[in-house]
Amino acid sequence: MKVRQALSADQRALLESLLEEVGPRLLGYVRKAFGSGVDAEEIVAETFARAADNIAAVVRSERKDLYLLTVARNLCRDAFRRRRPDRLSDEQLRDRPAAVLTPDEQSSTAEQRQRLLDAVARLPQAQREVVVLRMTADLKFEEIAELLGIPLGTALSRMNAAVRHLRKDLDYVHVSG
Amino acid sequence: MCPGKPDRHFDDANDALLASLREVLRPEPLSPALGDRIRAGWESRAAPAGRLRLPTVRLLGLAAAACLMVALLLQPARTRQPAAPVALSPDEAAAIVAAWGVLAWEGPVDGSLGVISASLDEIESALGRESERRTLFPWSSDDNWDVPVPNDEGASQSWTPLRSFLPRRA
Repeated sequence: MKVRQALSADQRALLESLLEEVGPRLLGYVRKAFGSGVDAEEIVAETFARAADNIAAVVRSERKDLYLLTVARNLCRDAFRRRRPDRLSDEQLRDRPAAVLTPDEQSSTAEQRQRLLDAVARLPQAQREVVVLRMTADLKFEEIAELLGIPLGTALSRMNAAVRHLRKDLDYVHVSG
Repeated sequence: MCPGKPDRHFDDANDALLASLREVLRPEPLSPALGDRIRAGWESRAAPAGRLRLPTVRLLGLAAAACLMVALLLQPARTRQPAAPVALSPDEAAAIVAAWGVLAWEGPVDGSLGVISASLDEIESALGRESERRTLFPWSSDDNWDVPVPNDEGASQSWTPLRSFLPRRA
């Protein structure tokens, strides 16, 4: 039997502040890095529930956002083992006609936004995760490397590969002015 | 493009792409409903309904320990009858002594001799054969085990199997 104690006022306040500061980044990370393979809201709720379970560890943690991201990532990986996400294979992606954006299309913010999101979703998982951790979770590359358990150079090269992949996928043309 | 010269157009395109990425991947605020759901989740984990709280468990543990102690104190003292003496067959006794012979001659170093002596006493006591002690064990813990000179008299009387474990001396 696991015996739990009720949260103190300080602990509850800590969870509230984490919910406000880290919650959106956590949800964005899970949604955009793992897509439809997981129930993002369920993952985030479970992450905070586990934080309450191990509140002493959360209090001790120097980087509480990394702690929560790690828990969420582990939950996603568990969910992935049960259900593979729908994702185009590299071969399918290579054969897919590139979406060429005209200047008019690029000015259409909503369409460009959706195309970009789709392209991110088509990235290989390892690259997509680095992109989302950088852009959504707002982590530094050193922190991304620590979270993923990879060398810093690998994190950087995945980001670089992701950018090349996206440019190729979107046939992205920057039109200045 | 000249080799080694940065491609400004390429860099600008990359910068624009990264800016667009940051824009579309920016986290959105949690909905109030999700916030409530998350709070409900951690509250239910922290204080689950129907589960025992830690102080309650401590009190129950103390009460159980107290009951156990009282029960032990109130239990009538049982009279212990001494165990019937164990009568060893000659083969069993020989096996015991042979085993000790191995330990005595081949196994022990200085530090373990005391342990063997104490164990030997325990075996003697457990067997309850005080009257035959000298017969059962040709030498005792009182002997000098550092210089294992066997009790030739005892060995010759009853324990010929032991002889095979005696050190061969020139």
